[in-house]
Amino acid sequence: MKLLLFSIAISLTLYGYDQMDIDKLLKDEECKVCDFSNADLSGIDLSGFDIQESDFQNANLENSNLFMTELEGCNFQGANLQNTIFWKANLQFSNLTNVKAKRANFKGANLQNSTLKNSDLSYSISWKADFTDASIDTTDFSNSELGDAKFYHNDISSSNLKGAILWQTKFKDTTLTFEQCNDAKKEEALFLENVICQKKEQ
Amino acid sequence: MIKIFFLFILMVSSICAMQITQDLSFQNVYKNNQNNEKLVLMLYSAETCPQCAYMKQKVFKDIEVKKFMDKQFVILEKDVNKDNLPQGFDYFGIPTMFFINKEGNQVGKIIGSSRAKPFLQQIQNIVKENR
Repeated sequence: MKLLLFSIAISLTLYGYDQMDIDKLLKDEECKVCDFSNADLSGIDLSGFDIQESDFQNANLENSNLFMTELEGCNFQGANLQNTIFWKANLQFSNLTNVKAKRANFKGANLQNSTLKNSDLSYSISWKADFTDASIDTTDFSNSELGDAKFYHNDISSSNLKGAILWQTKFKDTTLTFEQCNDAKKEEALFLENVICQKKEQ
Repeated sequence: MIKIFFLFILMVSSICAMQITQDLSFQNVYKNNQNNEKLVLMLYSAETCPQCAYMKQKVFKDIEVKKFMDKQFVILEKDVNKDNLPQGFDYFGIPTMFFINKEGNQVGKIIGSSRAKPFLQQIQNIVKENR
C-alpha cells in the first residue's frame, strides 16, 4: 500500500501541473498561485490574464501570447519561451533561470527584481524593457534588441551582449566589461551614472 | 477586457477607415512622383515608439540603405495615434512598414526593427519580387 501511494506521489510530481488550474485559467482568465509546471501551453492566447505567483517550471509556452499579462512572482525555471510574446507583461520578481526565450518579445515588459541565470534571450525583442534590480548572471542577450531598455543596479559582466542593439539603452549603477562598455558607447547607449567598466572575469 | 477594447478600436477604425487610393498624402505621392515605378513605403509609427525612432534616425540614414530607399521608395509616414489610417492595412505593433504599388495594393510588409544590413536585404527582396 505504501509502495502504491509512493508511486502515485512520484508520478504526480513528475506530471506536475494541475489540469483544474488550466481549466480555471482558460475559463476565468485568472489563476493566481497555480501550478502549470511541465504543462504544454504552447500557442495559447493568455493576453491580459492574471496569473501572478504561479509555477511554470519546465512548461512549454512557445509561440504563446502573454501581452499585458500579470505574471508577478511567477517561476519560469527551465521553461520553453521561444517566440513567446511578453509585450508589456508584468514579470516583476519572476524567476527566469534557465529559460529558453530565443526570439521572445519582452517589449515594454517590467522585469524589475527578476532573476535571469543561464537564460537564453538571444534574438529577443526587449525595447523599453525595465531590468531594474534584476539579478542577471551568464545570460545570453546576443543579437537581441535592447534599445531604450533600463539596466539600473545590475551586474551584466558575465552575460553576452554581442550584437545586441543598445541604442538609447540606459545604464545606471551597473557593472559591464570593457568590451561591453565600448560596444554600448558605439551603439549610443546612455551611461547615466556610476557605470563600472571592468576586465572580464575568466 | 483588453480584447474587447482592441475589438472596439478595430471596429471604430474600420468605420473611419478609407481606401489607400483615397488618402490625400498617397495621391500626392503619385501626383508629384514622376517615376511611377517607385513603391510607397508607408511607415506606421508613433512619437512614443523608440523602435520607430531607431529606424528613422539610424537605419534609414545608413548610407547604403538611404541610397537604395531614395531610388526605390517614396516614404509616407502615419502616426497611429494621430492620423487616419487607410483600410486594409492592419498592424500588430509598431513600427510596421507597408510597401504599396501605385494601384494601392500591398506588395510587402516589414514588422519591427532591425539593423541596417538585414533591413537592406529585406527591402531589396521586396523590390526584386515586384519588379
